[in-house]
Order: sequence, then C-alpha cells, then structure tokens
Amino acid sequence: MTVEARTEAAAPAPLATDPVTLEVIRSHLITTCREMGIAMMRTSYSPIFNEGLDFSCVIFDGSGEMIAQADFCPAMIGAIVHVVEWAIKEVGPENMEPGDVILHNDPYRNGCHLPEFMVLKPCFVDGEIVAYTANIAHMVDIGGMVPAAFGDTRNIFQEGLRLPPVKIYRRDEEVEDLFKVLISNVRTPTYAYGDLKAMIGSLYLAERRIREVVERYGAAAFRQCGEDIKTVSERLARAAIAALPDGEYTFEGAIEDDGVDPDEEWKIKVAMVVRGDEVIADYTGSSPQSGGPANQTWGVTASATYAAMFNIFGTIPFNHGCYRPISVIAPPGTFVNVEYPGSCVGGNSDSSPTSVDVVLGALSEVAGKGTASDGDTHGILSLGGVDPRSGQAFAHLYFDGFGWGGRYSHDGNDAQVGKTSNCANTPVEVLETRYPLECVEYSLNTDPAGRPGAGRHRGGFGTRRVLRVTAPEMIVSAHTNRNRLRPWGADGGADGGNCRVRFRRAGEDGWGTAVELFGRTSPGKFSNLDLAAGDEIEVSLPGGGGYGDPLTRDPELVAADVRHGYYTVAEADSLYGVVLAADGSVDAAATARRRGVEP
Amino acid sequence: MSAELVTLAGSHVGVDTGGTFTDLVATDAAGNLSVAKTLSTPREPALSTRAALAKTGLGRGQIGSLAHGSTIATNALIERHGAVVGLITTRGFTDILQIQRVVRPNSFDLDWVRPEPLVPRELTRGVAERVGADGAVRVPLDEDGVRAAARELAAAGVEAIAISFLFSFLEPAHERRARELVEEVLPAAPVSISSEVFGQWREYERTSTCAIDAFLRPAVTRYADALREMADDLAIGDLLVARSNGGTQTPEGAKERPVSMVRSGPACGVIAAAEVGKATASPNLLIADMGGTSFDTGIIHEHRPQLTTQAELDWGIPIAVPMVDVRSVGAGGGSIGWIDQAGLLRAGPQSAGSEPGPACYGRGGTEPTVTDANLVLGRLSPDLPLAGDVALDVEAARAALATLAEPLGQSVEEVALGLLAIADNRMAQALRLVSIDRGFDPRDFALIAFGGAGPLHSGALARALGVGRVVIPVLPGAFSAFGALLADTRFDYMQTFITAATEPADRERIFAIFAALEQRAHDDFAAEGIEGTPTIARTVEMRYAGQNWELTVPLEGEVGDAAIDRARERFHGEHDAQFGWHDADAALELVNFKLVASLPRSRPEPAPLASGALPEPTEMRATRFAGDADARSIPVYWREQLLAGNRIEGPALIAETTCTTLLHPGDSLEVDPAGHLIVAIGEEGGA
Repeated sequence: MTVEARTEAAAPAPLATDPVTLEVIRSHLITTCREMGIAMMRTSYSPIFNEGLDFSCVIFDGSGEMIAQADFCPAMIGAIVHVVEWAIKEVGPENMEPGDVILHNDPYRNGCHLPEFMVLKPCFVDGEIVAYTANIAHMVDIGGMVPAAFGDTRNIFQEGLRLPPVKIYRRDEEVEDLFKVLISNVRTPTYAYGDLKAMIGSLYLAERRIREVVERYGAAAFRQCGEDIKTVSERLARAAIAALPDGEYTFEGAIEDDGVDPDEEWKIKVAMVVRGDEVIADYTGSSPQSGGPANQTWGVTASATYAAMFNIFGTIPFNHGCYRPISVIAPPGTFVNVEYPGSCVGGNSDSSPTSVDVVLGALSEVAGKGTASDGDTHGILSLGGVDPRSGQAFAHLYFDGFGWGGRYSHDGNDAQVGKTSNCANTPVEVLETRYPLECVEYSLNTDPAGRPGAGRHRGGFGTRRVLRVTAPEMIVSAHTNRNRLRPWGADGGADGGNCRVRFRRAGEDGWGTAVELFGRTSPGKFSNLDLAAGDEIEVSLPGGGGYGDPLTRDPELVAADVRHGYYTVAEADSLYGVVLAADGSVDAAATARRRGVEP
Repeated sequence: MSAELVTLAGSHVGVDTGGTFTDLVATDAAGNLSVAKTLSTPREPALSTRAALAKTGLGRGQIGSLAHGSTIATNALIERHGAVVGLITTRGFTDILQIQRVVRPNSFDLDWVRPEPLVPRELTRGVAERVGADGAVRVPLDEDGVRAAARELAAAGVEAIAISFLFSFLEPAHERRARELVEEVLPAAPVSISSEVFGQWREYERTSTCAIDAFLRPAVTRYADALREMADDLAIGDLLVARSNGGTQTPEGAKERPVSMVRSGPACGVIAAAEVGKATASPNLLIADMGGTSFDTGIIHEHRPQLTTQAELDWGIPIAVPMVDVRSVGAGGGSIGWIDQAGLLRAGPQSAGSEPGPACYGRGGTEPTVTDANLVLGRLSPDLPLAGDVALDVEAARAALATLAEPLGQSVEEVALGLLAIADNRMAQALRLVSIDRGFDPRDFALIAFGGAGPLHSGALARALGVGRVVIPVLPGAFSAFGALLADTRFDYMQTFITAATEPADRERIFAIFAALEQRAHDDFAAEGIEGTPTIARTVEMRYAGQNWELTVPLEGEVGDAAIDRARERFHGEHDAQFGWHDADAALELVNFKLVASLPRSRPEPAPLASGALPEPTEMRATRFAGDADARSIPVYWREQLLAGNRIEGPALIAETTCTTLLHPGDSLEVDPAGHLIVAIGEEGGA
C-alpha cells in the first residue's frame, strides 16, 4: 500500500452548481429519505421496524454513488454504500428496466449479515437511470436454525436464506416465484411479506419525489448537483482528517467467547494511518476468523470504521464524498473479513460496537475527544414459538441499551445502543401485547458486577430486564458479548461492567446461566433453549468504562451519584475518595485530606 | 356564569401573550374589530393583558368575554421551572424516566449529553401492583405501599405527585385508588394520574406526560389565579384560556389539567386559520406563520385542524397530549445568513431575535438577516417600523449583507435574493413534510400566511410547493389573538381497546366505550359551568393486524354496527392514499376510540367591508425579483384603504401597520367582502 502525501493544498475549485440550487436540491433529497423512513415506520409489521427503526433509507445517483440519506441506523448507512454498489454492478444497469426492484442480503457480496435485506430501485427519466432509491432493513426471521436468527450458528447455512442480488419486481409486477420461495422459508410469512411491501412501497414514494426535482431542474443539472453534493462532503472530510497530525496510531480490543470456544479471544487490531487528508484503517494482525457467529464481514468492518471516523469529524452531510478519503484494509479469512461459509450473524449487531471503539481508541485522543469503551453488547435474544392467544407463530428479536464510556467532556450516557446504530427499545406495553411475555423488571443495571467504571467522567449505566415466559413453551437463543471481558477504561478510568444472561425455572429460586442450567458451552451465545411457562430470563447489560482518574471527579457529582442510589456512601469514599457528611453533602475538607490534596 | 354566554352584551376580547409582544383583538356588538399591542411580561401574563386592555379603553363591566392564549406552560418547561415532582410507578419499573427510548438525535455526535429526566431517581417509588396486557389485574395494589411511598416523597420535599402504572390505559382502577390514598396521606399535594392525562399505550410516553402535568401545576395555578383576579377586578363576563387542542377551557379547568396548556399560543393561530378557511371557501389550508425567530407550520384538512400527540420537551422527553399539530423550524425575519465550511450560503437556524435584532433595526445587530435582505430588495419600507418606533436602516442592512456578498463574489442584491431563496426553501420543506407526513399533496391546498413576515414570503412558498392560491387574512400581525377570540370550548377524550371488532361482544364494548366518553364530556362541560349541548365527533384509529401505527378514520353517524362497517371500509382507501397500497383481505385492528366534544362560543360576525374603487397607490418603490437585472418600480397600496372587490395585479406591495404583503409578477389579488386578500399565483415570476 502506498499513500501519496499531499504537500500543498490547492484552493478549492468553485462548484458548478450555484449555491442556492445546490442547497435546495440537497435538502429536497434528504427530506425524501425521511419520507421513505416515515412510510416504512407507519406501514411495517415488525416492532424492530416500527418501534426500533432498525432501517436506513438512501438515494444514489446514476453513477451508483450515495448522495443523500436519512439518519436512522448508521451501521446500515455505512454498509449500504457497498451493498448497493455491489448489487448495481452484479445486475448491471443495462439489465435494469423501469419498475424493477432488486433484493439482496448476501454477506459475502459486501453485505452485513443475512437479516439485513436491501431493496433497490432504479429511477428512470427519459430512458436513462438518473438515480437509485434504496433502503436496508432488519428482517426478524429469515429461516435458518434459530427463530429470529441470533444464536451460536457455525456456518451460513444455519443462519438462513441467502439471496444474491435478484429482481423481486419486474416492470412494477411482483416476481411471484421469488415471493413464494421467500415466504416458504421464513417462520413468520405475514410479517415478512408486510415488511417487504413497506420497504418497496417507500421506494416508489421516493422515486416520485426524485422525478419532481429532475423535471424541474433537468437531468443534467440534477447530475451535476449530485457531483457537487459529494464534492462538498469530500472537502469537509478531508479537512477534518488533515487536522489530525500525520502518523500511525494503533489500538486493539477483543471479543471473547464465540459460542464455540468460550475461553478463546479474538483480537480486533487496527493501525490508523493518517497521511495528509487521507486515512487508511489497516486491520492486518487481527485474529483469524472464528468458528462462531461473531465474525464481521468486510462491509461491517468498513462501516464501523466510517462510523468511528464520523464520530470524530462531527456532523457533515453524509454521502459518498465522505468515504473517499478513507480506505479499509481487512485481510480475508480474519475476524474482520469473514470468508464463505463462515458464520457472521452477530458481527454486524454485536461485534461492530467494539470495532468502533477500537478505532476511537486509536484516534480519539489525537482528535482531542478521548473516550473509554462503551458497554458494547446489546443483549440480543431471539425468541420464537407460538403465541397461545392467537395460535400464530412468532419470532422476536430483543435488544436493549448499554452504558456508553466516559469521555473527555462528560460522563457516558446511560442506556444507549452502539455508535454504529441508533435504534429504539421496545416498550414493555408493546412487548407484552405482541408476544407471550411478561416483563417483571426494567431498570438501570446498578449491580456492582455490571455497573460502569469509575472515572473523572464515569461510564453510563446499562439496562436490566427480566422477562417471564407466558406461553406453554418458547425457544430462546442469545448472542451477547462482554460476559467475561470488560469494556476498557481510558486515561486512568476503571473498566466497565459485565453482561449477564441468566435464567430461573418456574417455581425455583436460583438463577443460573445457560451453562449452569442447560449444560451449554457458552453463557453468552447459545441456540434454542426450551423454556416453559413461568420461566424467567434476565438480561443485564454493562455500564461503559470510566475516563480519567476517579480521584479527580467533581465531589458534587459523586454526591449526586450517591443521592441517585448509584453508589453507597462507603463506595464514594473507596472509589472516589469523596467523604460525605450525614446529610449527604460533600465534606470538602475531609475529601481533600482523603484525596491527599490541599483543601 | 354561562347561562349568559350566548346573550352576553359588551365586547369580546382575544389575547395572545407571546414571547415579545402581547396582542389583543376586540370586537364590539356591531362586529367592529380593534387591536392593541404591548410588550409582554412573560412571567406575569396578566400584567401585559391589563396594559393591553387599558390601551383599548375597555373598562370595568364592558367586557363580555375574554379568551387568553399564553406561553406560560411552554416557558415553564423550557426553563425547567416547575414543581418538585415525585413519581409513583409499578414496582420494577422505577427507572422508566431514566431509561427513555435509547435513541439519540444525531448518530455521530460524541459530545451529546442526554437531557436530565424531569424526576430524579431518588424521588421515584415503586409499589407492588400489576395489570396485564389483557387489562386484567395480575397483582392487586399494595395500598400500604402507596401510603408509605407518599409519606417518603413528602418527607423528601415533593410538591406534586405523578402516578403511572403499566397498562393503566386498559384498567385505570389502580391509579385511581392510589390517588385516593395519596390524597388521604397528603391532602395538600396535587396528584396527576397517567390514565387521565394520556390514556394510550407506550408506558414511557405516558409516564413522561404525566410527570410534566404534575410539574406544570404551580405555574399554571399562579397564572389561572392571576387571570381570575383580573377578571373579577374588571367584571369580565366569561374568562377562558386557550388549550393545546385548539379549544378553550376555564382557568379553573386548566388548573386541573395543566399539561393541556402546552403550546396553546400557536394553536390559536391555527384556529383562526380554520375560521378564515370557512369564510373564504378554503377547506384545505397550509399554514405559514412566520415571525421574527421561527416559522410555524400546520395544516387544515376539510376545515379541520390536524392534531398530534407527538411532541417533545427536549430530545427524548415526550409530551403526549392532543395538540394542534404545529411544527416549528428556525426560519424567521431574524434568521441569520452565513457561509459554511464548504463555502455554501446558509440561512438560519440561528436568529438575531428581537434583541439585538436584524442589522437594519439599528440596535447593535451586525449580522445579515432575512429582514435585511427584504429591506435592501425594496420589499419593506424603511419608513414602516417593524420594531418600535425606529425607522429601518437600509445602509446598515447593506453593510451586513456585504459581509456575505464579498466572499461569494456577488452583489448585495444577488446575495439578498439568494438568502431569501434558501430561507424560503427551508420553509417550503417544512410545509411539505407536514402535509406529506399525513399523505396529503400540497398542491391540493391553499396557503394561508400570517405573522409579521408570512405575507412577504407566501408568494415564493406557494411557487415552491405548486400551490395556486394564497389567503392573507385580516389582522395577520395579531392573528393568534384573533384565534383566541374565535376558539370553541373543546375537550378531547380517548380510550384504547385493541379489537378486530368482528364479534358482537367486541362491538358492544365499543358502543359502551363511546357512551362512557360521551358521559365524561357532559360531566366536564357541566363542571365548567357551560350549558348547551356540545357537538360530538368520533374517530377510530385503525391498522392492519400486525402493524404498529394507526390511521385515523372518522366514525360517522350514530354509533352502531353500520358506522363501524363504514369506518372499516374507509380505512382501506385511506391507507392506499397515504402509503400507496392496501390489502382488502387483511385483518384489521381497531385500536383507539376518540371523541371530541365542542361548543361554539358566542361570536359577533365581523362587519363587512364596504366596496368601491381601487384607491391610488401611496407610493412607487424600486424592488427586485429573481432574474431582474435592475430594480423595477412597483406600486405600494395601504391595506386599510382597500375596499371589497378591489383587484390588484402583481408586482405590487400591500403595506399595513404590522405586515407587508408581496405580490409577485403574474400574481393577482382580490379583496373579499370580509377584507381577506385572496391571491391567485401566476404562472411566471421567480422568487
């Protein structure tokens, strides 16, 4: 690999589109992506769409580059660039006709993992493709050995139905044969059909809006505007990279227990090579791919890299231009670039947060935005069975928020999903209405085993849920991380908490893991446990790592933490060196003595 | 008090106390309108109201009714200035306000800090109780637990209590009993319960709204008491306050339902727009309310304002009460033009506000604003003060715009046109979203423009949206006060019951729900002291079984099987219209049953405008439009001289005390008998 250092910055050439038209078309396209998302939310069937908003909507230009997106789930936004590129190339624009829709979910063709279904529609004006509308969304059940997909799968065939780019609509007609294949291979066909219709319906909506703007400004002006939109973002991205000092910055983190070998660890190692206004993320030296489901596809690794970089950049208009100065090297056959037929369903959902933290670990201090690791596991449960109230099969994907790491400026936020996603939790009342489950507890995880790391800015708290099965039987699988390793602290902050997935059989007192109660290999990744009515499941998610020396934390913040019930008075002393008076206020003199500084 | 409502003599007064100005509109028995404007006193709205009344000369015993819109609840929320609230909830779920919904506003912002929850963790208590998803009681209420929680919270210093239990929207008995128990232990503490504040599913949204209701009690109580004292002093016949749903209630009713006051000010503008829509045969209206700092939009469809229950205090802190759907974007006369990192011209959302205000105000503002752009293009008269009595300073505006023109290599006029185009585009996108969100095509709507700056921009907005007709109402600068004057007394009710409505037993339960809601309506009107039979309108929120969000379908005619069948039929059509597909074979779910009860207030008809010949323009002014190489000279008319039936062809300007209307080349305007200006947008003409 060679990188030519840019020694002189040429003055930026003026844009071809006048600034007013550019801003008008740019915001029209972003509004259109938002409309796509609203239509999907309101018409879809699965809660992961309509409560979780686990989807992304984009517009590509005629050359196959992204020019607009709406901010729903960033992991998909990073990946969709490459998924769409691949699909356009493999099918070929010359083979597309007006009214065609292409479907694609193949992880080995630049995808993320099987559940991520992408649909793509060329938008023709006067016989020419002026744009593509596309969205990517998480389908809950895709066949495979586990209802709702996430367990300790060992190869792609156990994970479900794999679709290379294929036409699902031809000239505005459903390709009935493909629909038949699809809905014969999933456990919840009504949902799959409804969700796909919602996805495709929104493509049509977006196509109408694009036509409006092309009709008004002309195809040539629209094309030029797309180029200029990308150029503007590329300039901003390059300027942000150029502001980082040149150098090679390395960091590594690990994922433990792939569900096959619980004692093993898989390293994600990166060298971020900053040269002028470009950056290379070189993952050479990461562990070989594992036999379990936590592997990342190349698309996931690339998109985690982008997400971390954009977190460092701050807010810039998000399109193909942002990616141009970033290159990703991930050797095939490793944990960060899984090869066929390796399993990878969990890499996109639960390894990628750690991947982001590794890149941030390498660069965040250099960028002046130091941060500790986030809790980095969503506590994914796959639940399946038959709802006795309706007699219908169901499949539910459960996830929740963990604590973010403390950072240079503030404590970590409580109860968040990873920095590669931005999905909402499912309300208790929606969960219980939709599935044969009862929620016994939903709280912040303040247990000493799971709570965040102490620090000048401590980590945020994760969540804890306890669910009770109300169906006669239910199949439960899981994909979680951080059951053994802890989210790392930074700059002298303490490590964060552990994840915990446990069970309690009906009528019994004791809690136990899948290893203890079901004899499974791993406490965090397992498939198809048979539960019965009254059995309970606990999912406690980790708090993030702490940032900075805990003895430098503002004593008033420690007093507030004690007031909120996060720490005892004794812990304020032992963890933070803060002495509280009987009324809970800070004893400043005693605290100073305890911390060994002059009052 | 209300026996006299329909026969009351004396003047009727509407007041809107905004952030900067308090507007007052009064009508006498003959229907003559008068207006007054004073500076607001945000913390004591009664003071500026008294000052405005003093300007009108209306004295003791001369005011038949007064309806009051204010920002008191909105301000209390923005400033986080309210009661110390204690929350009692289902055991195991006490962190509900801490956990929120997990999402963040911007995917890529490492610096983001979640807003503080309204109730801290130490002021929350869980009690044993549980209702299931079927509405059945699983765990009975621990009454001693409620008493103990109330005592502990009182000892911790709480001033108001919110009670929110899981599934209380299906079975509110536990919340009601818990309220009784709290009131026994703490007779002085006001209590809000979630099933009454917002009886709908999604526990976080419901609990958040309930906590906000409790939080607002002190501010709303002080406000209501001060208004009542004023009404007693001045012997005002009927005193009403505006609600977020676009209706009115008594101040005493507001004290019972504080959260119903949120965003009631902008709601009044929508109510007035709906009334003007009726008077001008405009059933479908897009609202463009543009002031100094914000642009408020909403829609009226078939004469009905659209309501929403999705609003937020801060990111992730919802306020879910029925409110007129008004959405704001940061685009106003004060919006500042700037050049971003990439060298592109941008407008807002930062605003110069009213202090220091646009550069042309001459109060120390130096940044170029939308108002400055309008001034240098000749669209505003320097002699017509916008802010107090200071003439507008054209040179200051030019100097400010020059700071943009220079780096962009453009003339001041070019950059002014560009700034307006970008600001107009922002507003047009907001209008497009409010209409398309609901599945409406903006081209089927007329645009109604008001607020100090709305009528200046309405021609450009109409062009951007493909709208052919614009209405500039009377009193565009005091339109919300006009709306307060016109608002009905109105209550909204809702009950969740998820059913396919195919079994007779389910149908019976639906009938019983509507009967119970109607009874509540009659009880509430009686408690307000209002006689007369309210008008009842019913709607059902439905979806395809398996979907998660609903569409609202009216339930017309008598409650019964036929009405429900018609509503089911209609749902398929609505779904098709909004989302482009429907499935006549799919199973339906009816989810929420809603009832609105309203009673019109006495409202004198405005006196009609005399007709006559078009008056002479007051002056000719040099003005520029997009594409003009040079300024052209266009006539300026004084609105108060216009007569019914007058027609004006664009380009032209129509000036009045608080507002200017711009007529683009190709537009034509007609003055209707009530004095509203009806503009037909021409084919040609740029922004």
